[in-house]
Amino acid sequence: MHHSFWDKHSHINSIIHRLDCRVKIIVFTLLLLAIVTTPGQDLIRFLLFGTVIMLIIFLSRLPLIYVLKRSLIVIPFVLLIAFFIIFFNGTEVVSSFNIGRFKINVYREGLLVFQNVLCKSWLSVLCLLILAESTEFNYLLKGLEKLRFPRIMILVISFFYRYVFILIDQLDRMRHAVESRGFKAKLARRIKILGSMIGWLFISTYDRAERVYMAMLSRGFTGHIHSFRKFKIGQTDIIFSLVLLSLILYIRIGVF
Amino acid sequence: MQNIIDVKNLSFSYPDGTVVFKNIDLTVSDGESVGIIGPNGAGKSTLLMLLDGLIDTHNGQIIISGMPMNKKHIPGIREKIGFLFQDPDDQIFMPTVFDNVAFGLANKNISEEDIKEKVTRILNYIGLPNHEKRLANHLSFGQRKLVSLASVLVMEPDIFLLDEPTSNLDRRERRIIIEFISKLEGQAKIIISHDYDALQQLCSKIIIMGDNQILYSGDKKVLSDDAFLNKCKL
Ligand SMILES: Nc1ncnc2c1ncn2[C@@H]1O[C@H](COP(=O)(O)OP(=O)(O)OP(=O)(O)O)[C@@H](O)[C@H]1O
Ligand SMILES: [Mg+2]
Repeated sequence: MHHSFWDKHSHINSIIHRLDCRVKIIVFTLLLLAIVTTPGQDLIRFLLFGTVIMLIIFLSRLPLIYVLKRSLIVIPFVLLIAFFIIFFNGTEVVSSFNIGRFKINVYREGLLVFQNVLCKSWLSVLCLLILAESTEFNYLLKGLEKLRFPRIMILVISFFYRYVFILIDQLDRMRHAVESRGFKAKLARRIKILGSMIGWLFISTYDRAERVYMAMLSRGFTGHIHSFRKFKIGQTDIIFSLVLLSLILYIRIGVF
Repeated sequence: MQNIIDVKNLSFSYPDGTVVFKNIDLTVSDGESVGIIGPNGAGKSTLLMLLDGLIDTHNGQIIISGMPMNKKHIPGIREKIGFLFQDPDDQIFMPTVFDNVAFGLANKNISEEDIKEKVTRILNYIGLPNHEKRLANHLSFGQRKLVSLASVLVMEPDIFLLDEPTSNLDRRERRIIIEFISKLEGQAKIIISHDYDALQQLCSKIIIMGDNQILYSGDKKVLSDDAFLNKCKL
């Protein structure tokens, strides 16, 4: 495997990394909840949440550029889902332009929905990224287990984590194989080839995932998560969560 | 000597209809070291997976260390067996070298101190000292193979199933691995390999698989019988 695991920064030593992961999970979940329940037009609140998140990144000593870059992966999905709403949803026209013979309207309501989806998804992804990047994966899973998270969900997450990398790995191998054979073709043929490649990708990933699972079984895996990190809620955990939670609460319901 | 592996009348086909073997018999006695050779696709890896209870449907009888292969005994059987996979990337599924080697031990509920000590000792032993924190995906192929071997050795199994332990290794890494395997004197071993020199050194008995069956089982002299090997499509 030549890609990086997503908790590759989990060994940094920072206050955020040292927090008990149950505290972290709860605080980040509440932050996420506060963000997604904020009304879409409240740009100021989103800005403040963004500032809090930046502060957490700063405290966690995670490389800022890296986190921001990774958080951008949501943008294509947001665009795909919400971009066209701008032109179709609403009554109040803010501006309009012509493409050929068609008149295109930009609606105010549509813009609001777009802004809403964009802010919320981007900030949420940032939250999740910080949580995942600052916590050793097994420790995170064990934390979920301690918080009585359903066992089946924990297993799904843990396999997702392993298999996503197998998928990427397999994709890499395939890309190299294709490139090394000088893949050039007309568009139609290209699309056809790409289609069968994607099919192959899923089949081969499935087979490898199965072998990885066998390798886990052969070393006595029974579905239990093991982490060596201790669970202990100390002073720092309490102070950190109190400060952050009051900040979150203030931003969410304060008057601006 | 007692048979630690006892296979009778074993037949297996993959769900897609590929017949792998029919009615094969195989015994390995305690401490014995058996080499398996055979052309690509002969079913060598499949046989090892069956012996470790990783493929659960088969016809015939498999008894490991006195335990018949069934749901009840599979955990016990797996505890006895250390399985080195053909492709180390199938066996390396945790971020750091430490996590990978410690995985099996953690499943056995061994205390943290003991695990750390065992992992450190085994990494020193296989020549990767101070590699605990390294990311497994940054290692070379040979190093990943060594880490896989370490993760099997550390469990101290009674039986080793080694699927092509020396393939794709450079001369030095190959020699290191052969040396470790030859030091495992008390345990039973089944070694799949296309590396006849290694088998010559490590095994007392050779099994040749092909045409959905076992074509030969006996003395390792066969490794230099070119006429017979050719007949077995080797
Ligand atoms: N998951 C599967 N589904 C269907 N057929 C399979 C599967 N895995 C392997 N086979 C087939 O079973 C046969 C035996 O495969 P196996 O991997 O055991 O061979 P092998 O002797 O280990 O070969 P090699 O020397 O190439 O490693 C082959 O014909 C292979 O195509
Ligand atoms: Mg094989």
